[in-house]
Amino acid sequence: MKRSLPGGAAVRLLVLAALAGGGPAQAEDFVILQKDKQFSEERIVIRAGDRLVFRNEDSVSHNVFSRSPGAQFEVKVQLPGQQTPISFARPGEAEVRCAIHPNMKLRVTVEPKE
Amino acid sequence: MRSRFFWTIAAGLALTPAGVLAAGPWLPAGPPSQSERAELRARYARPEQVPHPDDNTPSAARENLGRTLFFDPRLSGSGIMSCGTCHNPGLSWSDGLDRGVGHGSKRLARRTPTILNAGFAEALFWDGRASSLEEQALGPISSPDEMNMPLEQLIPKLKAVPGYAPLFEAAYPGEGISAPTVAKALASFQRTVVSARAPFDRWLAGEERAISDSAKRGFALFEGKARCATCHAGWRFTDDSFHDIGVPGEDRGRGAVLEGIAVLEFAFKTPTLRDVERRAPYMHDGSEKTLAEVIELYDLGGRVRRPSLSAEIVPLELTPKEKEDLVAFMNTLTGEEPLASIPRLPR
Repeated sequence: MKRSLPGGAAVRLLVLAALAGGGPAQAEDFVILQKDKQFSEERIVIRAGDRLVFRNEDSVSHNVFSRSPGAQFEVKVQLPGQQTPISFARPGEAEVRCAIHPNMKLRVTVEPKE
Repeated sequence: MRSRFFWTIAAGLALTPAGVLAAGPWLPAGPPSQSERAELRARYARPEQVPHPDDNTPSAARENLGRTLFFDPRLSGSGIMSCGTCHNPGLSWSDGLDRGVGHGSKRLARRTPTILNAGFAEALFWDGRASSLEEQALGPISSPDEMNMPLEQLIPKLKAVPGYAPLFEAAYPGEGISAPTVAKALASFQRTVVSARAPFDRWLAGEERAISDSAKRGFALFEGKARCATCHAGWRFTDDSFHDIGVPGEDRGRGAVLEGIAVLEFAFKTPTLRDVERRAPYMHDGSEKTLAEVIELYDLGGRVRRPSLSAEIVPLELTPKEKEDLVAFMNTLTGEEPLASIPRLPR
């Protein structure tokens, strides 16, 4: 798990936080590994606006996608070593799969922004 | 992820007794050590139980009912075709044909997939369109092209056979004879169809002479240079993945199930290799007649190159001897135990 925001956005959020005495939390990046034909997590809870960074640490290619309402995306083929960030804008539940390896499943719960 | 065993034999491959590097295929340097064999056993360990859904716990009554239904030709519209007609246990639960033959001798689009180890599969059918055996079971029965038995006709037909009522009551008390109980029973039976112990398993267990030196070299190639274990992984020799492996044809396979995902065009499910020598011809359409032909396809990096071709499919540059060794290895995956018995059908 890591934070990764462009410097400008981080500054803006800090200013807001200072003004509001707490204020909105920063969006975060969460790294999901694809290793041994499994996701590194089976479930993850994030907030709207956070990103999942799908990183292929396997020796085979993967193709992450979701058809869940509100979180439809396809990373397309990721060769070993590649990584791709995906933003989850709306609250809800998403089932993320690998199109090539159907036993790879990740349940994402996207909670509203605070 | 290559085993240390692979590297051990690869490193020891071409040293003659005189220590001179020899040309040509290498030989295993010797039996795997205790720890190497333990690592192999772990990688190829079969689960102790077949997974099942919460609402269909296995029982002898359920398996018996499912076996009975599976071999009963009254489940077809014609009355002459059972599930076992195409999924024939004598032919490794397939039919030995390049493509299945359905109702009215109609030739189907794809080869009959084996049901061997189907209870462990993540997705069923060549294109994975069913995600459980319960979901899969009624498809071929009701398909006009296959068994041609509409479910609204099947249930009264089964209810009219007096001998079925007690079998259903024993298996699913109070649930009656219905499409869901037929599906659950068939799924329960299919979960019992698990591949038997093969020479490869005896070799893993420590019986060094259970497989030939050629097969041992083939196994090292299978996990190494030939890249087979990239997808034909684990004790079933499949990871249930979908790939376009370069089989010519217009059948879109998984691509027609999950529309819009380019890598799934012309992709089909990786089949188990257990008992594979008993299931010729091969591929989803029977287009490769022998295992040697299958290896030729992989050696070429596919017979046709489309944008959807799997990234794992690349030319292998195998020697003729290496190809022979791979076939020798696959032949060690044939189970040695008796087949299922055929049930007495109720009247």
